[in-house]
Amino acid sequence: MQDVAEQPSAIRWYYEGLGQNVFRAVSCRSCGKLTFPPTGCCEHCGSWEVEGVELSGEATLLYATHNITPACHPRFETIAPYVYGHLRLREGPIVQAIILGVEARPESLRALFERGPVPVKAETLTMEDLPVIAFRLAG
Amino acid sequence: MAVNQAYGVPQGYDIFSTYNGLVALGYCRKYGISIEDYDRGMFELCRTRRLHGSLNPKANIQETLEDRAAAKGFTDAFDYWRSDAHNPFVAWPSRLLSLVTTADGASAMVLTRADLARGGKSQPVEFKGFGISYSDLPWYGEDPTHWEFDRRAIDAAFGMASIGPADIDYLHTHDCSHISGLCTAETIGYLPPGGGLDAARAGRLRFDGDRPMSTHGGRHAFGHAWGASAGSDTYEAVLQMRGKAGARQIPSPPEISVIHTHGYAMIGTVVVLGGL
Ligand SMILES: [Zn+2]
Repeated sequence: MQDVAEQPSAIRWYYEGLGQNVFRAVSCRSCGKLTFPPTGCCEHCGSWEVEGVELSGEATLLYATHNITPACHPRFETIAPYVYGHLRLREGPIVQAIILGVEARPESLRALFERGPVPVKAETLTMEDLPVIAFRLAG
Repeated sequence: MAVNQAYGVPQGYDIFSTYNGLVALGYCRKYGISIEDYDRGMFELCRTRRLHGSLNPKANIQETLEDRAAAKGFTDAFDYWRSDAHNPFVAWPSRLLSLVTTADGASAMVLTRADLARGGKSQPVEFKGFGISYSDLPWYGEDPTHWEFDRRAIDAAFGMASIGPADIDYLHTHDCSHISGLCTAETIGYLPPGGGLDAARAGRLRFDGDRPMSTHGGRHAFGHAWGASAGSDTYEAVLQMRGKAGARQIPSPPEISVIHTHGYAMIGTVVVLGGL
């Protein structure tokens, strides 16, 4: 299969960045919008004319909940139960991810909910087999 | 799970957070509902679904919430509901008994041309319209109560059937998360925005209420057999329209029924049935 050229993979590129604490998206040359996490074509208009961009990692945490069922994948057993949040990146995209800096208990989650939206910052969780994006409460 | 193989489960996605807890918090903040009122509303909704299950010989859970509470030594069913030992927060502020009950099952339906349907053994219903729309995680934008792909499926189905929300006599929404199922009913316009919990507390969602929903017991009491569920939801609607739903029969058999279901990853499907 010498004639088959390897296509660039947005997924591999994302995870390579994540492993180095770099958070990547793609920006669309047709509509100007961001797709995060990155895919080969724009999730807003379907254009394949996309280019990679680096994100600030800054975000606003809108809502945070938790989960007491067994971890969705064995890689998370060491940190379960964990807090999972709904966020808006400074650059615009809405994201859901693991939240650090608040305990996965109803009382702590309630106190956080009553504070309203709070700033968070992305960081990489180094799991055994894969880097995972998480967001930590500022301060 | 097949939800977004590249970034979903590998990055910590979990259905109970995404489908329940975050939607609940979005709902409470949007409509200024306290966590206590949310909890009470979810209790009442579960009570309604389990009442329907108790009236359905095919339901997986046929024990009412009140009987369950009494069997566990509680005189007040709401105390049982609020007991962390019996009904823990699975994804705060959503509790275990607001969730799906998994089941095995199968379903089938027969479709034919209208001119062939008349004169058959059973009273036919008309397949008046359908809509289907897809999304990827996180399924909703800044507002967890608004799911745009559902909106599109609803509009397509209602347009094809030439109906509006005021025409609906019976509604099933996908309710493996009770709060998500209420949000869909509000998006459809069957319930007023932010009014789902009050409707549950007032008994309006019961088979004998003015906004009957999920009279087979829903995903919680009837149970959820994944691919088979859309068929059993449709079967329930057809039973109601034929006036053959037994103890849980809606007093005035519905003329227009709407069935909304979610398929994983995420697919929203809406079907409109009417009298032939
Ligand atoms: Zn675009």
